[in-house]
Amino acid sequence: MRPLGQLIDLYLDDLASEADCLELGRRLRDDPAAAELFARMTRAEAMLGELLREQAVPLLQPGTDIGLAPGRQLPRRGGVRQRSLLAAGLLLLLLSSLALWLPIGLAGGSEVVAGQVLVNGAARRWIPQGARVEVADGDAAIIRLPGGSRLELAPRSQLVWHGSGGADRPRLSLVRGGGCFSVGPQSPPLLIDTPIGSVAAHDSDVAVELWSPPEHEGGPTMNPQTTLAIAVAVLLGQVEVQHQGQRYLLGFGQSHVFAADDDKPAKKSLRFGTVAEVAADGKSFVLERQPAKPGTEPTRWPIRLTDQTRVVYRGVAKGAERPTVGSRAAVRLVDGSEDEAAAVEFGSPEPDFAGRITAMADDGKELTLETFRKDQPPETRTVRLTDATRIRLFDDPKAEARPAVGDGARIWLAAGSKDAAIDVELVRKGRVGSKDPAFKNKGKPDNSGKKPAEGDKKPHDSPKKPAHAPDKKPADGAQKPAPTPEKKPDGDKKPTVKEKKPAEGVKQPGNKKSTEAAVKKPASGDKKASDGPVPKK
Amino acid sequence: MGDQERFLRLFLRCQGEIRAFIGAWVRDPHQREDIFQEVALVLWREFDRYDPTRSFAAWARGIAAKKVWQRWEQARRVPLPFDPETLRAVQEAFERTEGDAELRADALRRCLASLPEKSRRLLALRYEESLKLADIAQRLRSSLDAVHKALSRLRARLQACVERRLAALERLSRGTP
Repeated sequence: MRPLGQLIDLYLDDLASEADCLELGRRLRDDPAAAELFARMTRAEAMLGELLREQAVPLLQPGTDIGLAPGRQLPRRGGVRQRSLLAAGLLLLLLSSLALWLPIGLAGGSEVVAGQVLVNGAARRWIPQGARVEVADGDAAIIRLPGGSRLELAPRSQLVWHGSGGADRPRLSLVRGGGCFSVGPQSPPLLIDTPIGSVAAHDSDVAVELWSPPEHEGGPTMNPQTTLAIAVAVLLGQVEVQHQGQRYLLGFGQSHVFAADDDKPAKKSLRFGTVAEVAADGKSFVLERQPAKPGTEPTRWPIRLTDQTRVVYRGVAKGAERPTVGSRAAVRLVDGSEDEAAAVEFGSPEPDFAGRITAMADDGKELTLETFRKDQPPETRTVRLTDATRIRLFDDPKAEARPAVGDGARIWLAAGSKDAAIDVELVRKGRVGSKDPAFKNKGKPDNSGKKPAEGDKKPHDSPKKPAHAPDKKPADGAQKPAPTPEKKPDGDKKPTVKEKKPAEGVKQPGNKKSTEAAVKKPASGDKKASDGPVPKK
Repeated sequence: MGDQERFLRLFLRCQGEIRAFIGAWVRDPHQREDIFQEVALVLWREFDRYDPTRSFAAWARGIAAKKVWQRWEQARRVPLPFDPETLRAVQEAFERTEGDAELRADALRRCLASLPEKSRRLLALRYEESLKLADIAQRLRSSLDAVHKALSRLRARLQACVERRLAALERLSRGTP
């Protein structure tokens, strides 16, 4: 008869035969102590993933020697074991007593894991509750919050860390810049306040970025008058956004821009619509927005592109990166100008589907994605890369990029094709140090292509599943948790949130109504999530 | 406190337990997640039937056990991996061992941090990336058996470390050296 521990080990490693399972079942049933051991081991196993993520273990590279080569044994420590037993025991006691005190001393505090962070003007490793935090210029910073959530903040970002509030919900106010916020399933929901809305995340990874006019980026305040919009992109899971008194659910792969009120001065420099005319030299175009009420004239804005204008194309094939009549566009004007664009984004903001890359063909011409559809098992899709396929990083569209297993990918297909991609946008964690240049300030140094924060090796790329509605209702005033737990990332449906049964009072930015709330009076006929606000990711 | 807030508090507190219980029976991470979602949905829908004098986690595990069983039956696996009595026995074992789960989690966190980086990397492949052993072996250019043995040793080592820490805490709390 196999020892119980060996049987459980086989089972945990998916190596147990049917006979092993029968034997294990019998012993679990007949021996309460065996069942308890099994319960403890499976409980520990369930925790390991989250704990490892907390502790940010770099991934192994192929062929790394970790002492597993056949015939090799893990190092034995018998020699020193006897001698160090006493010392280890004393150390253990010391650690254990420290363990009793540490949680008290650091309650509500956060640790800077990488990068340089100034707390109230001085470089610090620990961030106390209530501190004003600024990421030093140059590199991104990684901060670990109590409870295991992780922030990767772009250089020069600023926030106020409020710590864990009364309901044990960590909360921070993002004042400038942005970053990626990873909140694990075991971590408490994180509330991210911004000047014009709040984002609640749990069991999800979300990128949040504030857009401010250039003159305000140097001296930020938590002032909605100086913030144009917040861009929210869900990399994993699902988040809830509160904006102008409404609640929105954003699912895996979705991005959305929540703009300031129309009556706020900042909002006046944003334009959304469809390209109606393009000048022969391509340096200017007319942006048209359909009226909200039928029978009235569309609004038309002449827009000038200059050498300083940041331009981004999404869902556009290689070589077709130019303004074309009929394509959607989002424009941010130079402050004070009525027609000069500081940034423009052309194309279709929402992909045909999204997923995680699980395999690459040897010739690099094909990639396999695992996509997710509600109530169905994960689906595997193969995407062909052709000469016309553009491949770019989500936060650095101009950089050359090569897909890799583990990357998140948003796929735009060629018209009429089911597998040929024209545009592939890679979401690679640990790149918040670089930014999407589309809506960055002109004249400022481009951070794109900067060294990733602690590299792409972070294990957060694991194909984690998205959020679940019942544990996803942290917003104050929520009327009822969304009763339908969000299943899996709906990678291959455009308005993914449409599948969800929203909680009462929860709007989904994918529908027209919510789009109107997010950006007042969008072009009529806009029905898709992507049609409304700025297609920023 | 409204129903919603009460539910959230209870659910957030024990969702790790629910995941662990489901994970004990369903080894595929995607299926595991599916079942977790289904359980979460049932918990919310049936929350008005929840008896607050009982353990929420125990109630949730009962629902999870039913969902796991349904999934096995739907998959028409013959023979079924385990029988209902086994599920019930482990369900009860989870309840009996729930009391020190938080302490154990904290100890595990510290024990994990004390492992050599290479060991933690191996665990990350298995438990964070959810790779199968064959994939890990391929990635590390090692054999499946070697990976299994290393993982088994690591689990045993972590388990022993957790027990030692708990014993030390116990001694501390009793004021004995």
